[in-house]
Amino acid sequence: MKAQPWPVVVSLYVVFLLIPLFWLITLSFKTEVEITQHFTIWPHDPTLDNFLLIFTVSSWWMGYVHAGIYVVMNVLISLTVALPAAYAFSRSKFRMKKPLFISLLFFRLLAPIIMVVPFTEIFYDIGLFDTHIAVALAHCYFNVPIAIWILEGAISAIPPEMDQSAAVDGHSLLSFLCRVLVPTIAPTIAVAAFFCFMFSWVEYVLSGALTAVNAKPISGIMMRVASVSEGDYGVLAAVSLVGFVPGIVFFLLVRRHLLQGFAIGRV
Amino acid sequence: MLVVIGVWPLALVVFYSVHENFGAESVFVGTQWYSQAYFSSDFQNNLLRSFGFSILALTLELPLGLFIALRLPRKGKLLSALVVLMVLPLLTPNIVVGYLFKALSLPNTGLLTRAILIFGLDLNLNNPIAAWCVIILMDVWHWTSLVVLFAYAGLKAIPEEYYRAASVDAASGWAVFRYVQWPKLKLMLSVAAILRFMDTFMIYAEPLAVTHGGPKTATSFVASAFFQSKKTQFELGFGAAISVTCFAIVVVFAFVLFKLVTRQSQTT
Repeated sequence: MKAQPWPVVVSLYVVFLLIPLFWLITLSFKTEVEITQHFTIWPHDPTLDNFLLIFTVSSWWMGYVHAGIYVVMNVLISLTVALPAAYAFSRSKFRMKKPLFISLLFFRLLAPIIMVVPFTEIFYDIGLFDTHIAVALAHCYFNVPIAIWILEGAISAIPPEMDQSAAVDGHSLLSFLCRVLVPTIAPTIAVAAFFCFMFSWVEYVLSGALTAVNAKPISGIMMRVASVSEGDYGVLAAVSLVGFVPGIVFFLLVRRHLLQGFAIGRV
Repeated sequence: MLVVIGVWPLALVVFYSVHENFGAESVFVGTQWYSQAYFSSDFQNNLLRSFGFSILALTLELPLGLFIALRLPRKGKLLSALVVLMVLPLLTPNIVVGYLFKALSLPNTGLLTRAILIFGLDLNLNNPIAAWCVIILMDVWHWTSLVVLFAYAGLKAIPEEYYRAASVDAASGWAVFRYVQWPKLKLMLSVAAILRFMDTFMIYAEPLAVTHGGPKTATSFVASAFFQSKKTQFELGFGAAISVTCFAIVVVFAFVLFKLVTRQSQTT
């Protein structure tokens, strides 16, 4: 494709994206009084109090830890479940394959809020309420189908001859999946992991409802703070800025894979 | 096995929606919750507003996202930087986006309020139109990047040879778009459209943060009512009836869109 000129619209869009982000950053350094009573572009009286609060009060920073734990669990479970499933969808022929594959997407179409009550009830009944694994499993409900979709595209792009030659080389199915398939579609796995991560990290309805004290994630704490005090803008801004950090780190780690994965086709 | 795990919670919701629930006991009440929901004017109005919001958001986000994806540089550092920037809104929790835009439109001290004042306009969230504009703007900021990424992924999947063939034929820019890019983009865009439809249709946290559903009920949507009925009065059945309805609407939308896309690709 011929190179597109670096155009006006994209620049405008970038500016449009940047302005609220800029405001988010300045908010985090402002005092509550400054935010609600004076208009200043740059913080007039910059303060680190908002950030200090997050890192000194344990329920705040533990919130990040809790979220981190279940997000990692979720990504690992989603991928281990989705990879064989995607392989099956891609390679074997069985009745109802196509409708089943399409109906997978419907799980992603359920809004988390619809599932709050049944999930709470189920996890309460099996004694997993307020644990990390409960949130991780609940998120799998939404992430596994998407991961299967993403991975299936990549696996189908690989010629079946590769499976056969691996079988000739003496690989069992399991060792083929781990040693041959995974390295080959690593970029796509990164994309799938990123999508799972993204969903799980920002989801707050289920993660808030399924936890009480022991596993309360940062988003749940934010919800609570936001609903109790009418807008603690500075603190919320600081919390979400810190919340960007894992996302950006993760993104930078998989960046090259991500762009390659996009190139393969299915997101 | 997977299907059972997947269907069980959904079946529970359907079960709630046709029963009167008292703790552990439940009595079958048939379609009582459904009729109660459908005949309430609150629900009807919320439903209309949700449709309106989804349609507005989609008509802004899809073309904009597509347009930007077509204009993105093909490779290089610039592309990575742009993608990082575009991913940031997607990584912002909904509730933060809500409060961020509330902060942007605070009376007197919000950046947006000030910017609009330059044009001599007064941004007042008590004005329904202003409230809608802010919420739409918020959704466009938050989610257009998703459409860009999907469309971009679709574009990247088009082999270079197609473009070469097109340039041999001296195809115009529009023809390249219509016959080379569009057929590949269609599916990706419809997946993006379905995801966006679902999210916008079930939106509640952001408007709740920005406007508390007001002025009056101008920005309360299906899911906001549903959230209230679940959290405050805890009428399980009523909430479940609304859930099932919303899910059905989203599924029908997805189904129709898929049918349209696949039929078109057979005829062209």
